Amino acid sequence: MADKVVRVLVGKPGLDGHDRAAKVMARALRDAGFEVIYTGIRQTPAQVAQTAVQEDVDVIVLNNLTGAHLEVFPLVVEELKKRGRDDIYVLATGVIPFEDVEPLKEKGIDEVFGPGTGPIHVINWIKEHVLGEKQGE
Amino acid sequence: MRNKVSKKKRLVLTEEEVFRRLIQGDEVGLARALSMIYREEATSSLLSRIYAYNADKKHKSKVIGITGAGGVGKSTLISVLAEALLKKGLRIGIIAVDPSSPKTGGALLGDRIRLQHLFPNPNLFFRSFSSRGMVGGINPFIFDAVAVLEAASFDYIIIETLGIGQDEIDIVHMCDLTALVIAPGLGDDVQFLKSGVIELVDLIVMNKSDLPTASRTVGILNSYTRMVENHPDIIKLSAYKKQGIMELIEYIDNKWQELLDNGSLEKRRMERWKFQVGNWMRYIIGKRIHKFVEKGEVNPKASPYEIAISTLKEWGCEV
Repeated sequence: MADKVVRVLVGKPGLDGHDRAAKVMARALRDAGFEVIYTGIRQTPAQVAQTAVQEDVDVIVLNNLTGAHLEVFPLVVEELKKRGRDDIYVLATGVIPFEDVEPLKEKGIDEVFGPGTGPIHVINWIKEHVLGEKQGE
Repeated sequence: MRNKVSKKKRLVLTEEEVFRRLIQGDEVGLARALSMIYREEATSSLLSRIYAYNADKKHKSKVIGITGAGGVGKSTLISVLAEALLKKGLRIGIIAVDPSSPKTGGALLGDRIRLQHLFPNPNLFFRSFSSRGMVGGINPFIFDAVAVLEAASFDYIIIETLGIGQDEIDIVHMCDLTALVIAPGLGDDVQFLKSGVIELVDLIVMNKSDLPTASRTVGILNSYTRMVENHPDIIKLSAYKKQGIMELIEYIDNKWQELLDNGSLEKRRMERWKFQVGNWMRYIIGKRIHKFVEKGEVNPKASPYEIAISTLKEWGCEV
């Protein structure tokens, strides 16, 4: 147990008070054995980025349900870059239309989990990319 | 279905870089030093350098422990305390411990939420730890984390622990000054006071003192503390209403200076150092014991005491 600690930040950047999804995600990640830090709602991109740096996380799971993801998520990536930690994986979750997936990836988001996906997909992605564990389809 | 994402390479820092950045107060280096210790990746040389550096350093951080039962307002108090200290232009480092699941090892670390509004701020550092890796209620990582924050020369280092069980006592060994936070109207006041914590802390912070039952609780407290030699002082405040915070800071500063001047601080820090040696010994032996017990065969005919003694003798321990 001691050797494989995965730390994940669940961040809610933007003016969005709908935190049920983020809390469900945080709980699911916890049950997967990860250490989860939750920022709470209505964070600025700089707040999320500084938290990620201080907590030295492996992955940031962003969630925003207001449709502001195209603006606000890439700003988190920018803030991480400014702090010299753009090596941290950034995942996007929420009601993200399919046509926004590529633009997000172009701006440095590593993967997008939109409608139809659940915490298990995020968990498997993290296990594969951070722990190097191949996940069966 | 999904596009293949090129795998990112996690930032790697050598111990040399970590140490250099840490003592400059750089967040990335500081955060990584804590991770290396926590993940047991740090060699003993990093810790040796940190302890040697701290011993020679003139600047001493004030290490303040905050403990108390769940719901008394520890996180809220720390948030308003940090806010007030930041306004004075001071640098604050905070460590908070939350429980980890004994089943999966996973943890939800939510102590930051109360003070996220103070970020982004270059003078405020907050790190969440899980109680993972504790053997017998003791987590040597937290002690060493304090040393790491000291190396980063924070003016104040604040430790918030789970307010239950063994930790209450551990935190006293960890800090220069420890405050027990209580709130009025807790039915278990008397039980709580009997547990012995009251003999060890320097200060009792009566939070939520704007509630009408507060003065009665203080009365009960007074009657108990009077029976204890060198009894802790009591400060009434309301973290939520931000009342009494400046008085608390003044108290802490004065008390810390008093401990420094009369030599108690030095003594406490020596005790802390000794306690941590014991922590590491217990942790290392605890792990070995755990392994042995997990793998060991069950023999209901043998006395468990006998097996324990003979195994320890085998390991070269005098028993």
